[in-house]
Amino acid sequence: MFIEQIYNHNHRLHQQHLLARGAYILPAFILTLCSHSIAFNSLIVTIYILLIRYISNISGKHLVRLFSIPLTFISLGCITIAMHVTFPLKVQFIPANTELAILIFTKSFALIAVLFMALMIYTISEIAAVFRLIKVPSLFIELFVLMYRFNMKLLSNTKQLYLAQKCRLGYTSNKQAYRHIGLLFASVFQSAIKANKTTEIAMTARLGNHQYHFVSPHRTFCWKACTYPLFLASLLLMFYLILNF
Amino acid sequence: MADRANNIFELREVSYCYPNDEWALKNINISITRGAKVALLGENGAGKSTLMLLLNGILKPTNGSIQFENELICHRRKALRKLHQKVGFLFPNSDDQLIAPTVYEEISFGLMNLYKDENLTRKKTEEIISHFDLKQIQHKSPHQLSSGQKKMVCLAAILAMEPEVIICDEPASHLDYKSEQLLFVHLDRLNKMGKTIIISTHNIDQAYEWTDETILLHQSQLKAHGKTTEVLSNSKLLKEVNIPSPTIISLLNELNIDIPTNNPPKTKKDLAQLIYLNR
Ligand SMILES: Nc1ncnc2c1ncn2[C@@H]1O[C@H](COP(=O)(O)OP(=O)(O)O)[C@@H](O)[C@H]1O
Ligand SMILES: [Mg+2]
Repeated sequence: MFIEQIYNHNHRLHQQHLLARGAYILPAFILTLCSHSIAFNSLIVTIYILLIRYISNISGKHLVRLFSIPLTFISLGCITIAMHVTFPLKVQFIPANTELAILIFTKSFALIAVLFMALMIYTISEIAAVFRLIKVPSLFIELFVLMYRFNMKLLSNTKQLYLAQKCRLGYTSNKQAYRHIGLLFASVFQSAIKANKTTEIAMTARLGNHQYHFVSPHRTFCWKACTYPLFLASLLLMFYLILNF
Repeated sequence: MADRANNIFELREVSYCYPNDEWALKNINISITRGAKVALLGENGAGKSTLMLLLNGILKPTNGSIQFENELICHRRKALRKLHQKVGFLFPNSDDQLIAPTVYEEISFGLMNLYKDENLTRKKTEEIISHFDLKQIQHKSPHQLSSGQKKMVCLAAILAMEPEVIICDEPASHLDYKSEQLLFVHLDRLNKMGKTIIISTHNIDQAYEWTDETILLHQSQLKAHGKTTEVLSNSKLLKEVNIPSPTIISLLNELNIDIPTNNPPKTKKDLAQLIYLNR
């Protein structure tokens, strides 16, 4: 799954300097924010989905599932914008509204694609470092990292407990399955909370003071690593200018 | 063990009761010699892990007192910080200990807390990474590693902080033969540098051949404490606590060779010599 991919952090760009990776994200993000062109937004979506696939080797099926969740909500919102319902029950699409809806839809889609890409190529500690840099309250950062860690524990626990249940012939009938899922959730939460407690202790044993200060290896910044993303950025800028004006 | 100044830990009448009213340890009196390799043996539930957590100050004894380097362990925050710096703890389950997104950052965590200086932390981290041969996996997520690699990362992360005492709760669990050997080679080297090493284990042969002192726990109580060769060659005692004799001792028993009480054979080589002399 994508979450695991994020946690594993073994994509193609993981060796690159922070800024080189940022060059993939920031220009595209800003251009998409400013864009009024449906065509440009669609272009961003296409390019970034391909990029995510290439960088992470995530399967198409997973990618579809990944995008389906936010897109469902956005689609619902956009449809309500485009639709005009009159009494007694007559549904019509107003052309101006429809165009706006499509614009919003493509724009959100593009932003999500870029954000997913960002999530993918930055580790949690780098994201936390950026938060710290832009003076996000430390409570929020701590919560963010804590959630990440809890999720990670939850994920691995669930997988193992599920397998263990299956090995003991759980989930064989439908009726059983409901009960077993209930049991699974109960035990997963218990064990995740317990594991989290132990981790907390382990952190104090290493002088951790509820803070997540990691140090990443020093990577020298070189312009060569930026050529691809900068080329991409200039290409995007060109399309932006052509398609928006 | 009589020399008080040479003891790194002194436990006096230590008892511990978990919040659910379960007494995990009762009236323990032990002194642990500085620079010794100590084995903590006992059945499951004997109280080994609890004792180790007490030594690291993570748990606070319900009754009794623990001294570290001739000072009472104080459970105030600042004092504990000092204790944690000097007493490293290797958790039985590596997953509990791993928190960072990459191995490199995992090792940097304790160092950064200790020194609060990025450059120094980087330097020390890189030193320990090359020392432990973790170069190939330094950018990987700890959760992708094999259990042996995870253990090594955990150990490296602790050793980076250069503690005086290293407490390992079942360090060899989940490890294959080679990783186990490697782990003990590392621990041995640290011991040669004067560090005290306390391990709990179920591998009786390992404990017999590798450690100097043995602490035997049974049903929350101290059953024996002394030189490993003495404690573990006492077959009657071991039977009482449901622990098998070390292979070397049981072999001598099978062969009806008297075990020299002052100097029992410690290694396979000693054993071979003794058998040769008694042929
Ligand atoms: N967190 C806990 N809460 C309550 N009881 C515990 C807890 N941990 C251990 N115990 C109890 O304390 C006793 C000693 O446990 P432990 O020190 O883990 O034994 P060992 O490590 O020798 O197997 C056991 O009887 C166990 O049930
Ligand atoms: Mg234990």
